[in-house]
Amino acid sequence: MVQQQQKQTFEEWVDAFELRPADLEFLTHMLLEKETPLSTEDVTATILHRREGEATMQMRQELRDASIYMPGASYVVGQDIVFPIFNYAQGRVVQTREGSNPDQGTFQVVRVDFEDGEPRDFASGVADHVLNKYPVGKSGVDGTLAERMPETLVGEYREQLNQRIESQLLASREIVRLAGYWFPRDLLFEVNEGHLNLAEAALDMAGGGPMSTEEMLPELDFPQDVNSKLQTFSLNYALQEDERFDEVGPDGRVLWFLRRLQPLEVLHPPLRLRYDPVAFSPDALTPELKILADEIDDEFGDPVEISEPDTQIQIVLPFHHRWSGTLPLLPRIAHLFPTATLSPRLQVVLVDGHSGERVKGWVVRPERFIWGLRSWYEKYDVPSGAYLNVACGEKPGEVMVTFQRRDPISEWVRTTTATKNKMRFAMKKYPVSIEYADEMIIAVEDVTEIDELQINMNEKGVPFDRIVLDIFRNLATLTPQGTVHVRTLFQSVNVLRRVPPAPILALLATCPYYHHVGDAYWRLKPGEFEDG
Amino acid sequence: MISPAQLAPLLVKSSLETHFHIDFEWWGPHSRALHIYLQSHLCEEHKSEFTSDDEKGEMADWMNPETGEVQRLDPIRYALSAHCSQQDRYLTLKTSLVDAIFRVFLSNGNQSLTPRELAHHIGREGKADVILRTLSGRRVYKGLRPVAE
Repeated sequence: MVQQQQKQTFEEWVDAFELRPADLEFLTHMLLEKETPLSTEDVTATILHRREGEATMQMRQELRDASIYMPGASYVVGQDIVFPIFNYAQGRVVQTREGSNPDQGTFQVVRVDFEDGEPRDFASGVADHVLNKYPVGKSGVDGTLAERMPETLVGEYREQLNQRIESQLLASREIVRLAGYWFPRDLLFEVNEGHLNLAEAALDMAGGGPMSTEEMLPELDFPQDVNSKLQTFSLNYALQEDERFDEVGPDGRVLWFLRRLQPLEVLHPPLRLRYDPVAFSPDALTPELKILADEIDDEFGDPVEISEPDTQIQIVLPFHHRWSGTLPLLPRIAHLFPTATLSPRLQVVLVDGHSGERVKGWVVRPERFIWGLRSWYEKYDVPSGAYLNVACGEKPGEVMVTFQRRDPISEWVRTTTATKNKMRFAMKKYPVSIEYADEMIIAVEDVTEIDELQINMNEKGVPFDRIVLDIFRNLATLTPQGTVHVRTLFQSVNVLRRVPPAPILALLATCPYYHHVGDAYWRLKPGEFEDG
Repeated sequence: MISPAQLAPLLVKSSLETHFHIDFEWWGPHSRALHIYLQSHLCEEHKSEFTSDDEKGEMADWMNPETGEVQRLDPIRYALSAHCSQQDRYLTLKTSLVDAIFRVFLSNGNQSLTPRELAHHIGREGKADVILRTLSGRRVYKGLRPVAE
């Protein structure tokens, strides 16, 4: 029987990795000495190098006169051997003999007696064996490789270890992080209120921003003897801690903007886009309904697995975004937009793919939308339900939006109005010059009426199921069969209340008065619901 | 009669951290059954070499490629450890759970492993609890048992 004691896999070693007080002390001293903030990658490498030295010293103490087992070495009877791979088990050679293996060539077999176990045989005189290359240590094979050779940390494990170290450094609160760099809080250069007021004034002069820290520094009159990287880091940290400033830089660039000069709708998302979660049972969704829910793009829907991200993606413009002047930050288009280093809001350049005109937009990640398209929608009279193409722009941080033109002819399309505190749908002739999805198009003549109705219903707290029922009944009158497509229902419900597809489908599946007639269509069962 | 060493693992409740291995003593007097079962794990090349039920042959020293530990193995176990277990089709998702676990131990020199480690080795991540239930139930499959600490 052979038992391998306490051997850790690489993953287990990373999972169990804990920063020790000595690691933090070493890191702090190093940062103090260099006066330069370190990236997470550098912090990880620094800590691993320290561990490497510590492990080597510890191993030397533990080994004393014993030899580390290596299959390439030769051993004699009476010699003590340490087996790092078996948690540093130590034994004594009691017998040697010639190995017998037609495939292996000449080698010896040494029998080793362990203090608490049966004797075991090991190969010696084998030139080609992995244990000849890497000395192993206290934590087991893989763990020790990590402690001894930080450069071997690659791929997923490196990221995992970085994350563990990051979370533990954040918890320690002694070392602060900014834009992926770390520095001891106590050693930061002191940025006072006067400096911050000057920074605010500089941003004010620049129309609110964006402005890099380096552009701001000359205005602030910092002492010349402070390391420029430390100046930048300290100012970034002070700006981050002050609510007047917002970091809006994409993809690793730190850029600042005055919060009070940001568009109001970026700071306070419009009612139309605010999703107040609806309680529903996900179990109500059969696999078929789950597919239907996933097929309706929604920024608050379940993330859909993407095999390979495209550089140009077609989406259908939802009503709530059309009239908020926004785009949904769908999981499948999120990669087209830059990511922020610090802030949940960042600036982006939106390019009109038809005229080439560029406008400044904002990516608002918490509420999952992109703001800045109101004038573009108005310019081209884009209806909700229109197909839009979203693509990477020519330069980093730019995103291009286009639509597919068509002959401007009047067609029968779904329209909505709000009268007498009720939303009404009708089919009317409407001029459309943009390709659109039949089930999703909803034209509106006076959106302010809809806004008022939405506010009114919101204040009254009209239940979600009541809203859906009223809208369903109204939509059902538009077709001779009395059926409603789930996409149409989703789009129409979202005229009055922001809600992703899953709760709507769960309601259709659980309420007895909705009948699934097949495909994506439902109809009402007459007389099975109480009117009131 | 069951020996104290065989009994010991049965008295301890197994967990996901318990180490399992092939207890060749479990096969006891049924060495022919073991031989036939081992034959089923051979690759095509070696199946023809070990067609007879003859269990005899020269023992060889098999060296564990990870630890350097040496085991004296009979020809069929040597072929399994040194050659068959290195073939692509040795362990696939179509291999039954018990056979897959058995094959892992044949390939690693019967070094004990936990259900979590076994799940990883047989490519069934997240199935450690199924492996634990299989190996720690009343019925012993193919001699797969907890290691006596």
